[in-house]
Amino acid sequence: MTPLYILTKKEYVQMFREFKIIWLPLVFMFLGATQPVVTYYLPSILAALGGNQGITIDPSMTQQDGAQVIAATLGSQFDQLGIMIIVISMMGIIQSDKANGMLDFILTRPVKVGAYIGGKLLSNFSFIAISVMLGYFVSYVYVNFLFNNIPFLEMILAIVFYLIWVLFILCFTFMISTIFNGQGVIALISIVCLLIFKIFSGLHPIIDLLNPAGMSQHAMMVLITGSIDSHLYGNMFITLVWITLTVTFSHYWISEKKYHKN
Amino acid sequence: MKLEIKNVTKKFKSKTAVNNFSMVVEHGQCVGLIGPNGAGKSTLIKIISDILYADKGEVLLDGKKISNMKREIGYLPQYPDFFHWMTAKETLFFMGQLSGISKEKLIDEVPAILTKVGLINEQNEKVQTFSGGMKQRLGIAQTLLHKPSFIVMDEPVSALDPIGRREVLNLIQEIKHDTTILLSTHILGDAEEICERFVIMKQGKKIEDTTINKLITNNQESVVHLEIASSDLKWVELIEKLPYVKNVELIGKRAKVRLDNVQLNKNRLLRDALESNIDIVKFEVGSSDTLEEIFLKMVVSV
Amino acid sequence: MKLHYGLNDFKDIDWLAVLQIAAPFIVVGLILILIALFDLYRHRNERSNVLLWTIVILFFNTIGPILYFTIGRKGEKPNEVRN
Repeated sequence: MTPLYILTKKEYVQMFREFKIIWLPLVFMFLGATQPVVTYYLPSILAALGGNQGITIDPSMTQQDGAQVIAATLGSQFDQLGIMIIVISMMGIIQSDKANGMLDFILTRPVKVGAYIGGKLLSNFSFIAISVMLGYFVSYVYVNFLFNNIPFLEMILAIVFYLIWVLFILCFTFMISTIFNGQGVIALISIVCLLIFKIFSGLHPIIDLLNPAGMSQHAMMVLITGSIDSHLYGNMFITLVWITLTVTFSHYWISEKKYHKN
Repeated sequence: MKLEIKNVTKKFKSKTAVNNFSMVVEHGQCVGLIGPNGAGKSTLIKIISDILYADKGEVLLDGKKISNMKREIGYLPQYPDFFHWMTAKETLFFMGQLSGISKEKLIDEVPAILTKVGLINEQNEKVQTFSGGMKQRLGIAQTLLHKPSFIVMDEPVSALDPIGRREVLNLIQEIKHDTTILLSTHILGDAEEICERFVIMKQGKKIEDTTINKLITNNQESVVHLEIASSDLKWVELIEKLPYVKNVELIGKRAKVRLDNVQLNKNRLLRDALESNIDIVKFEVGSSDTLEEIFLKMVVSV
Repeated sequence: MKLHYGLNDFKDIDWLAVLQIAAPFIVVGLILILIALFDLYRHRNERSNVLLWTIVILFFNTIGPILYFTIGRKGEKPNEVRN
């Protein structure tokens, strides 16, 4: 019974009590289903409503490639609403423990800061990863059903790359939650920064290399082109470095007790 | 278990909360840390329980750095607040396991300790529904759970209503036989009841370190406490001019009369009163100050 | 522009197929609504604006429950007497 195990378990019990364990995966499944269903029905809905009123849609234009649809699930559903939902559901991850004094309390016990952070990240990342994967899987099933099949390997590779970006989202929010004390401020800073990363991805190859959101871009490229971009490994390495930095900084901040409001 | 606090200093921006504070707590002692609000008690307690770092100085438990001795310390914060969604029992299991106690042992011990603090009937209720006193008692249960040899309590009773205060004070009385205790309070009466030794703090500094008996003997000066009917208050002004009367303090109907030689002169004063036909309600020889007054004098004047 | 549609206009759409695809979609939305309402009911004494949240959850499809889960549960009662 190490502290890491106890703290991880506590996080899961809390998610269970707050129903997070049900609603977050459902929301991601919903997001995952949205893109294929809307893309599929939009032309026919427009056609049915527009009738012969002059809005004509070229059938060859509307027939999208399945890979593009699932890439759009990642790029425009998960990377927008998805990021916001992850950030908002995680903004209190450290902040709430600071606010009610539990962080102080837990650290008066023989618990290492590393175990505390580890328990938080391990439980929350595994949970978010499963939610995102479920949503992605739903999207994949819909795409296979409504459009065309996507090669299994590409599908797996893409989600692996994407999860690295998700890990960054979590660690970044974690760091902001460690430093700042207001939930609104934490949510605002995290969402704005993460969306800026996302907007800047795909603009310039050098920026992309340093940008953690590049992992999302790579995930989409794997799906669309079916091949791995040469910059992927560099980007992946640098993203992992960013993740390490945010976690190290949080560790420093907590173990040096900088989180106390003076 | 011997606690040594050596030259601890802690600054918050421009304010010095604890200023070069040193003291030693011997095994089995119960020490009350007393001071007005803002004297730096809470900061000192937080440094002792390793929640804050001192800017200078160190805290040693049995000669070892406090951060390596967490298993030996039980800490009760001023406002113990636990996870709202946990029940009392779950809270103790959670904190107990973090202290390194095995689950099997906790299954035996948690009900016993909940009985001790009087929460056994609420063991499956969420902490959310608890009152301040119940949380305080749960906090004490948590502090005792891992059988620490040293317990630090920050204002354990200050925030409670009279009933809660009584419950918690009795509980501390009970546990003080087994452990070394350091508790802070700004209410002298509470400390007087539980502790033998006081450390008085003011503006981050230690201004007195003493026992209750010493404190009273040092400040003992016999005086006559007088209470007379309000119609005779003029007489008090008259006695102030008597040769053997040093001075008179008058508060309401009560007068505190300092005499040159109490043993000799108290009867002269009484005779004087009788001759003047004074309606005496009370005539008493006693020590000049209550503990409260001694404390006030120290904190205000030093 | 034609504002009134007859039944004929909808015959082009294969409703069964639509239902097959949309059903999971609707079910997920419904489950979210139910959980949100259940949680709100369970904590009805601690939350502020219970009625407002009920309306939001019921009428803003999917977004309503998400909003409730993420920001609607902050209104917990402050702690018991402190002094």
